[in-house]
Amino acid sequence: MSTTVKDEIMGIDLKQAIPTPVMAVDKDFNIVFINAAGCDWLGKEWEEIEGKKCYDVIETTLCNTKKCVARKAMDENTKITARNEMKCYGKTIPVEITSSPLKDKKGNIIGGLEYIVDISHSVKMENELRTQTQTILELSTPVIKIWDGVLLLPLVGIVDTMRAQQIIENLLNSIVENEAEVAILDLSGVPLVDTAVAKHIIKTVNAAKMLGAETILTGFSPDVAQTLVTLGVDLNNIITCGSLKTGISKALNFIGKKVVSYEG
Amino acid sequence: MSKRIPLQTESDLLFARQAAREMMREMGFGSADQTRMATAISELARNVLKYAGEGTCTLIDEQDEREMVLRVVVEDNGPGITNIDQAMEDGFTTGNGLGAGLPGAKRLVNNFDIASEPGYTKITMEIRRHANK
Repeated sequence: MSTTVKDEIMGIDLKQAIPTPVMAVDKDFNIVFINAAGCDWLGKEWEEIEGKKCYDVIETTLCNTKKCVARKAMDENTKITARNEMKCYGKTIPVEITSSPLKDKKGNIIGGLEYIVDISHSVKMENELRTQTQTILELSTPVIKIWDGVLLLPLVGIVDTMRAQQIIENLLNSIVENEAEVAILDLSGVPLVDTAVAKHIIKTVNAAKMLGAETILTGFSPDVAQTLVTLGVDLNNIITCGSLKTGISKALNFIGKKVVSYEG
Repeated sequence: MSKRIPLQTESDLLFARQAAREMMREMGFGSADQTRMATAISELARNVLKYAGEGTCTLIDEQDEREMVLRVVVEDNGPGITNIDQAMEDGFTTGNGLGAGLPGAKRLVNNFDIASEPGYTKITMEIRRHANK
């Protein structure tokens, strides 16, 4: 790089050139400095802002609360980052504000420096992810009749409290409707079984038993089986089969049927 | 590298589990270890949501040349655990669960440590493996 370009760049007031708001306040939250991007966001000239309290100017949701990052950074003498909301070109947007204490030469804290980053994009992504998770959770739990008296309920995805309740209701209603003797609960599609999920499974099996139906659990993955044993979950009173195939054959046994090869 | 996940809803719990799995996969842990840690996080995060309402889960990659280590810190500002020894007993529950959550989570991981006082509970867990390099 030629020295002239370097000199020219170093000659620019870089604080002003940073394309995101940067602000410095003293210990009483009087604004000492705010850069051009900050003024732009707020739609105000520096002359209007100078000397005002920061909370009167930027008006975020954390302003004047214990969670104010500048206050925390100064009180705790450390860098603090927090999510917040503030006005940008007249619109309220989600932001992440990071603040660190400013110190004099003796090391006494005399103010705080903050920089503000627009995080609308990541917040939008997170919300989308949440909605998608919600959609997956709300996928119905179909009960399939695979033979007279034999029901199959394949579980796919994450079993949470709400969905577990739905599973119990669906299965019990179908057992009564179909006068089922056996129900197969297939867990091939469940990535993780913790004690809360195990409790729901045990409850389902016990309730089915009261209606006169046996429940066969199938499709535990090796990882899940190992984890359940380590957790100490007792499934001793429950019939389990490694695969859905053996589960179906056991279920047919229960009703006195079996699958045989056809020889013509 | 570390990642901090707020725990406020059940979907945060799923997010934390998934994030731990991904981080462990990138570090080189096998699927059994991933499931162990994800399950342990699930147990602790459920406790946080149930008893404290909210908290945080921090995933920290502590690997060095010799070992792959994932440390997970679950913190909350809830009422705290009155009797830790009792809470670590199999079958003990104050909340109508199976009572296998805490002792089970402890068995799932290599290191497990609880510090609890009214207003602050911190549980630290680690899964470690010799590096394959």
